[in-house]
Amino acid sequence: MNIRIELLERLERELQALQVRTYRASDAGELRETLAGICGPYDRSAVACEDRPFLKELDLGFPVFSAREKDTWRAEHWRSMQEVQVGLSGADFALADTGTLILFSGNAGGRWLSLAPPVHIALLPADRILPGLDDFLDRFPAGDSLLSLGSAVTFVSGASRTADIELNLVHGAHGPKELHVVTLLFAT
Amino acid sequence: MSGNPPTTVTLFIPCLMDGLFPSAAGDLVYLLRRLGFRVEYPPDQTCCGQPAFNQGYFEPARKLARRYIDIFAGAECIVCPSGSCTAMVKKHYPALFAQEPETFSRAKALGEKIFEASQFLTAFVAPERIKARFTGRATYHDSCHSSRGLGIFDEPRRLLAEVRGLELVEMEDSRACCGFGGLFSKRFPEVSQAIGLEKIKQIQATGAEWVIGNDPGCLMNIQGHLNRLGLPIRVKHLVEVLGGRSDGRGKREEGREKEKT
Amino acid sequence: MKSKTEQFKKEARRALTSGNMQLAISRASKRFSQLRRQAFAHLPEGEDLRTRAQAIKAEAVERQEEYLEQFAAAAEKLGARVHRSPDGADACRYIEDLARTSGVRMVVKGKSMTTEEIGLNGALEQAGFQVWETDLGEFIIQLAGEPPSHIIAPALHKTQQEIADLFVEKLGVPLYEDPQKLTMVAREFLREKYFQAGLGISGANFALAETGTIVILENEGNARFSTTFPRIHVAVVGLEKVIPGLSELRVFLKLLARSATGQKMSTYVSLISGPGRKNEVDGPEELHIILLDNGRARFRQDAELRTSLYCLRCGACLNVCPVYQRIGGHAYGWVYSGPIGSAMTPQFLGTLRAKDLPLASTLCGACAEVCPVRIPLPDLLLTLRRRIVEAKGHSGWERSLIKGWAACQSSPGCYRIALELARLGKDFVPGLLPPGIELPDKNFHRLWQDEYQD
Repeated sequence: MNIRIELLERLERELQALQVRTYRASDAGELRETLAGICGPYDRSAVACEDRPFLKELDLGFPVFSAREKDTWRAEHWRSMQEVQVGLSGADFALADTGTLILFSGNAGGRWLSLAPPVHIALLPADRILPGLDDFLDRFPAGDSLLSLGSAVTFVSGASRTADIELNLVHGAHGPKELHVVTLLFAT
Repeated sequence: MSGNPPTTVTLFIPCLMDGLFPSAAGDLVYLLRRLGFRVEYPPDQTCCGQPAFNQGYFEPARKLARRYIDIFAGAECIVCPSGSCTAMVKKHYPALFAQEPETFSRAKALGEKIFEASQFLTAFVAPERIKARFTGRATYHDSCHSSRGLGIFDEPRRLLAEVRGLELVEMEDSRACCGFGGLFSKRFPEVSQAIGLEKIKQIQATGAEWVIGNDPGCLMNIQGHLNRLGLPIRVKHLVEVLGGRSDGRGKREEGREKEKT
Repeated sequence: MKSKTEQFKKEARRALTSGNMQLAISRASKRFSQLRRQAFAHLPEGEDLRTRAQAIKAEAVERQEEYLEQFAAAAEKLGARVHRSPDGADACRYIEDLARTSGVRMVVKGKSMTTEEIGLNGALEQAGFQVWETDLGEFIIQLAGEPPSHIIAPALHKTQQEIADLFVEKLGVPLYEDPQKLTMVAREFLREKYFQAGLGISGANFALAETGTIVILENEGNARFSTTFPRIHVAVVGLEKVIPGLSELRVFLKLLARSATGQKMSTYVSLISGPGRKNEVDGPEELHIILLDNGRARFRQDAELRTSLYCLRCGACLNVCPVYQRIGGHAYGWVYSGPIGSAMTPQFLGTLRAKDLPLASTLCGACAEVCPVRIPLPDLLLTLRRRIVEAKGHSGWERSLIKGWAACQSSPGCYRIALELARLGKDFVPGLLPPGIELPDKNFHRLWQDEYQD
């Protein structure tokens, strides 16, 4: 695996400036330990894992969440939202110079796990870190290749925030209150 | 310094300068002559039309602009101790005559040879030649049309840095508007005053005894606020400080007699 | 939205005397402009990006029709329905009809100035729908029944204490006195609304012609919720939001958040291409995109003012404006405030109806200096001022005064007499000059004659 350490360090610096907690995992064992640490305060059943092939292969032992029926997903999500405290997602790309994760709804099977639970953990393969926005957009020279990525391509830079009350910064206005990014230094 | 210095300088003394700060304008004459320039002053000059133009009265402004162009067309180089009036001639005259090619090109030509005083001095004179003396602690207000309109910021500071006895203290956000805006201050006096008071706060925070600027409108406005608040701070026009004939306490060191050229 | 632009002077005076609000506004606008300044200090290509952004907007507005057609075709191919609304009434009617036929009872909204502009909330409420603003600032002012006071921070004028009291009164919660707790109250309250609502409404910051994608920038996540959970998503998009595609978008993504809040990137940037897909569990079943004219096609024909259509609604010009800093947004009397509001409102409502707005500026130029798309705001205000004069919008008294003044300035003799009269008469005409300003005995004309002439 080709890891550009200076990019990783830059990304971590930017993320930390956004109050995002960052971790590195060199193998599946370390990843499990890291996740156990972050999820410590929560019941295992309060963690839901995105339905993404590489997350399944990692076999992390958390329930994979995927709504079974297209017409009942809202009710299912609403129910699970009462229980799910931690959403575990992948990240398709990251931009080092702005501390941004890029999530494709097409790969994640949807949008909600990175949005609704109070804690969002994103697992980022280290070879997906790009220097900046241009490097990401240059991958889609034809423009419409963007459309194959899903109905929502979301750039996430930090946890949900607001400053609408006398400019006081508060995290978790609607989306996650906490964002944790674990960079995976091994092939997935 | 840039280009060859002109031999003759034609003064444009805007109406507020004419009425309110005549001795500062005189200091400019004195200074320019001391530096070796021949100084001319076309006596038929009046207002450049800015007050009308800024309120949208373009026709009266055009009328005055035409007059102005006729009066100053023959000048080798025009120097003006006001940023906003310089900007009026330089930027807005050509725009006013966009539909009249001949006047447009005359306006454009005029715009190329007009300089605000600090622009002129830094362009053609080595600042250390000015040898001004002024005792006191001062802060510099960057007028909007001077700083944003003409891009002047370093010029007055470079000149003031050479003034003996002067302590220059920067205020916070020196480029913030003083709230004058010509007729704006008459149409919206309360808003104008509120903006002005913010400026005064920044001035006061520097502990300066003097506020130096290069625009008679702003200086009048700022002095008005200082008077209203009963503060002992006074305004000074930049050319008055550079003219070097007052010691900072308002006393003339030299007589007001005509300078020999 | 109803306008009160005629009452600008009165409202401005009122704002100046409301201590708390005045303080909140000046503090917030100062802070925002400071954050912007810091962000641009770390972006060496910032000035170049602004120039490129302006060029992109100029081209996009020039070829707007072409790009809109391309956008509509691409969006429809993705399964969205695209509707062109000539005015706000049509857009409101479309959404009402859609909600009614779809059996919707509740509507959630992400922050959108465009929907403020067309008074959508009022229209939907009148038609019997329950509407919830979900952006925290918008939610606060909705509860308070007030209009937004800033483009990006609509509740900027409200103090924490006022918000705490408001939540007690309207939501029946205990009195919380810290922003964290108050934010959590809104979070919990609105969360279930996203699931109960059948319709989610958003604006859009950009529409990409190439792909039919709409782009939404936000920090809270409420727009993501509103465009993900309700069965129907309606995006209300001003015609001027269309740009060619992704390679143009990159320029704006680098500028917009930095200009607005000093962030390198907004917390969430959503590129939405069509409704939710088969391989995705969530996302709306229907996506309707309303391309709203509401005067924009007319503004586009106006060669002198068309640059106002480049506006990204970042609010940077408000934050640096000395007038806005002192009076806030409400005094402007309509949706858009500050310099851009003063340039746009007269176009929307009529030059004379909003004539105080372009006049209420010192033309200091701070706005043009920060605008990410380099809109020459002072020039637009000057153009509008000229039009007020042309439409005889000023009193006969003022017009005669200016005329007489110009005539006098045309004669050197008259000019000199006027200067003398000002000196002699200033004590008799109160307010002619600021207090304590003396006119020296000799004006420069005379001084030159007596002392300096060769």
